This record gives sequence, structure tokens and C-alpha cells, in this order.
Amino acid sequence: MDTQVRERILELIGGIDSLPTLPHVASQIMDMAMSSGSSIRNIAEILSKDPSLASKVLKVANSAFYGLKQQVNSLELALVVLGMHEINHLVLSVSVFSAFADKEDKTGFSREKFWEHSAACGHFARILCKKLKETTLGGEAFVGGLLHDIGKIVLDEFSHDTFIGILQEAQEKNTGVYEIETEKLGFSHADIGAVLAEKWNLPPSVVDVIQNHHEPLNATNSPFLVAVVRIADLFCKAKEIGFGCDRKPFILEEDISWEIIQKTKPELKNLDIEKFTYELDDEVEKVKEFVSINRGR
Amino acid sequence: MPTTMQMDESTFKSLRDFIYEKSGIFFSEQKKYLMETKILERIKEKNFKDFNEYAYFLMYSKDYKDELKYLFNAITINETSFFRNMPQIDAFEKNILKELVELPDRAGFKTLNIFSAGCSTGAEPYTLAIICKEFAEKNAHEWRFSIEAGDLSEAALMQAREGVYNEYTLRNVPPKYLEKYFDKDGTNYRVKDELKRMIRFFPLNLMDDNQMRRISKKDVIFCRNVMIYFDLSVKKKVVNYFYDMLKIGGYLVIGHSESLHSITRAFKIVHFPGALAYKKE
Repeated sequence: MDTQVRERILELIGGIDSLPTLPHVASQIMDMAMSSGSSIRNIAEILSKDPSLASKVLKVANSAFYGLKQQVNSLELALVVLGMHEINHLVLSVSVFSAFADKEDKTGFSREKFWEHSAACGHFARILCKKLKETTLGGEAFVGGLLHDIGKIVLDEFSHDTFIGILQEAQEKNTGVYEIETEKLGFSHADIGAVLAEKWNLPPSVVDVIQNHHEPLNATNSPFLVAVVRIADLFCKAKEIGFGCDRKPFILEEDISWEIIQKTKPELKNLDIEKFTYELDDEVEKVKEFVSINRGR
Repeated sequence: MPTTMQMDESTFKSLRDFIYEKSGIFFSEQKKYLMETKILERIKEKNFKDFNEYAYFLMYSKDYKDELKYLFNAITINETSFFRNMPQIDAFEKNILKELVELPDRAGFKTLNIFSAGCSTGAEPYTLAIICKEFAEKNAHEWRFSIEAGDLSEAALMQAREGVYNEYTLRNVPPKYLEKYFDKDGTNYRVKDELKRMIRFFPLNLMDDNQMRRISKKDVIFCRNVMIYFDLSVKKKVVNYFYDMLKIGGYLVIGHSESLHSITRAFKIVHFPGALAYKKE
């Protein structure tokens, strides 16, 4: 990111310390998952220090959203069934809700709808990875999708009126929020999100998704993941999940992300797009359940 | 006799995949309960042991076609109503019409030709007529909208021409339109002449090559939940005729969970909020 842009963002939010932090336990687990030599037992011990986080992790793991074939009633079992990386992604996804939990909804921007959109995007991205036989990328795709728009929440908290003005203008002009932000502020929620993601030490692939989900050609670390999340974002629009501002239609095959994915996955052109679209209808309720588990106090 | 009323997840999924493959219609989980109920009736009637045995019969017997047809009819409650599936209607009004009147090469001919193929008793073409009229009033005064509506059933066409509907069929019509475009007729409502004048009803046989070839060029074709009963080869032929019939930039709209995946790749699939349509480019 341009250093000037970064400075202007920090100015807007009043310094990097004003940004919310991740729960301590989540950061610890993220570090452990990325370093070798951590055992499942270590992770379970750490996680159990934050009982409310731990109980939400179990609740999500046992929900229809997660779709496990067996019940996991203890952290240890959850770790064995899911593995270290998946648990890391799960903990992270549950944690971000608490990072922004205490704030009340302000007018003009529904947090519930925001999270529904974000979770659906993550969920669809994970499903798309599975369809493309990239199951191991599913966890990152989910976190990336869940956090792709996180900069919008920051903007809403630190500059509410400006943000609402941008939302309204996007609606009136039937165009995207990203375009209006760039025009008005000189930066966008993608840049703001990337600043937050770096503060949180998120994996580089997730930072890449947040920073480049509107400009997938600029992806540096994980072009495939960025493209998958971008396509998932389009499907959210097709399913009318969240706060879509514009009614602009899209043709998947003409989206640059579709081409990026096809470079490594030529079989994409045989995907039954209609069936995939209709199958996602089954997922919408599960996404809502996930959000309600996480927003429950 | 089945001991439980529930069909297990994997039976449901293999049944729906089979139905999708054979008919191009996709049943979401929301339809699972309805499917269970209807299949259970069938299980009792035909003395199957359970859901699995029925599924096996449907998927592997020689006579699956008749059973499939029976099942469709039971599940896709063949009702006809105005403003059916709002996301599709919204896409027609807010995206498709808007796009078509702005196409640069149409400037000289300010008429849009719309085709309701398989119009049944007229709910669809009248709905489209209302949308077009409203659209013209708001955005496109100088445009004319001509709607052709065809159906195989003479009885259905007679009812369509008559244009009299009960409250139930009209339950999704916004009140302001009900007042504007209908006259009360006892307990029913009668479509006003200004709408009738926009539509030409005619007997249509989608399988009649001679007739299909003679139908004039269209900007938008609606053919919703009609082709699900056709064989693959017939479907291919009909969809080809639709493709030829459409002008460049025109759209084909099929049922909201129908698919042309195994029929053609000639169109571009366009996603609108809550709906998709097929565009000829």
C-alpha cells in the first residue's frame, strides 16, 4: 500500500492504537498455528483460557453451517477432528466478532446485514474451493471472505457520517461503494481493512484478499484466493445477501477473477453455473445461524 | 411402510440430482418437506417399502419417465399467479427493459417485442404488460411494447383473453396496480382493455417446427416451467428456436430454478439480484 494512503488512514482513525485488537487467545493461537512444534494439547490449553471464545468455537463447529458429520463435545475432540489449521481459522472467525462486539448499531448501516454478507462470502468461497478440489485452501478462503469488507466497519466506527454519505451516493448512482470511496477519500475500505489486517498479524493470504478483492489483478500473495473470494462476493450479490447497494448484473465468465481461476483450474468452464447458483440457496439459513451464534452475547 | 416420515439427506440429494439431470429443475432444501409428503403418498399407493426403495425404482426402472412426470406435477404445484417470482420480475423491469431501451442500435425502432411462451391463463403476459406500461410511464414514453402470448391449451387461452381473475390469483399484485389496471367484477377482477390491447394471444405448439420458424424476432422471451416436461432432444430444439428468435442483446427467462446447462452454451448466463437469465450476445 502507498505510504501516503496509509498515513491518511491512520490520521482518519487517530493512530494505529485506536483500532480494535483481537482477543489475546486468538492471536496466540494464530502464532502457534503458523509456527511448527505446537501440539494440539498446547492449543487446547490456550483456548480453554477464554471460555466464552471456546464455547462459541464448539457451538460453531457443531452447527449445520460447519456441517461436521460427528458431534464434537470437547475442545480436544474438536482439535483432533478439525486439525490445527482449521481450528485456527475457526478461532479467528469467531474472534473478529468480539473485536467489534460492544458497539451499538448506528443508523444507516446494519451490522447484522454486514456480518451476514461477510459470513456468506466466506462460506461461498469455501464451497467454491471444495468444488475446485482445493479443500485445503477452504479455511483461508473462509477467513478471507469473512474479513474482506472489514474496513467498512472501521470506516463506520471512525467516520460514520462520511461512510453513510458514501453508501447513499452509491445507491443513488447504482454503483459500488468502492468506487465512491476511492473518488471521495482517495482510498477505500480495502485499504483500511489491510491496515487493520496487518495490525492483527493476519496471514499474508488473508491480507491480500482484504487489500485486493476489488482489484484481483493486483494480488501479490494469493491471486487464486483473492479471485475465489471475489467470485463468492458476486454470488452474495446474486443471492441478495447483505447490503447490496447496486443492482448491476454480472456475467461470471466475463469477470477477471473467473479468468484468473481458470488459469490454474481449466475445469472451471465445465462448472454447472446454474446448479451451483441454486445449491447456494440451501446455505443461506446456515450462514444466518453462524452469525447469530457469534453475535449472541 | 416407512417407519419415519423423513427422507434421509443422502436419499434426498440423490433424488434431486436425478431430477435435475433429467428435467433441469433444481429442488432446494426448502422443497424437501413437500417432496417427502408427496413421495410418502406415492409409497403408500404403490406399496413401496420406504424412501430408498422408491428412489431406486425412480432412478433405475424403465418406466421412470411417467413416475417422474407424476412427481413433478405433485411437487411443482402447477399454480398460476400474477407477479410470480418477484426477483425475476424485478430483473425484467429494473435491468432488462432499462438495458434494452438504451441499446444504441435500436434508436430507430422504438418497439420492444416480448414473448410469453406457455402463457397458460394469462397471468404472466398481463404481469409483463403492467410492468412495461409502468416502465414506459416512468422512463420511456416514446416506446411501444408488444407482447405475444401463446399456449397449447385453447381453454387456457380463452380464459386469458377473457381476463377475469379471482383474488387468490391476484394476491401478489401491488394494490396500486390492482386499482389502476383492473375493474371489479363481482368477487373477481377484470383486466382493463388498455392492458389487453398490448397482448396478442395465440395457440402455440412449441414442438411445431413450422410454427416456431415463423414467429417474429423478440427482445425478451419468458418460458417459465414449461420445458421441464420435455425430453432432452425436444428441449434442445425448442431452446434453439428461442435463440434464433431473439435479437442480439435479447434475453430468455426460464423458471427460477430451471437450468439450461445440459441444453446449450450459446447464451451468456447473466446474474441479477435473486434471478438469472440467458442473454444472446
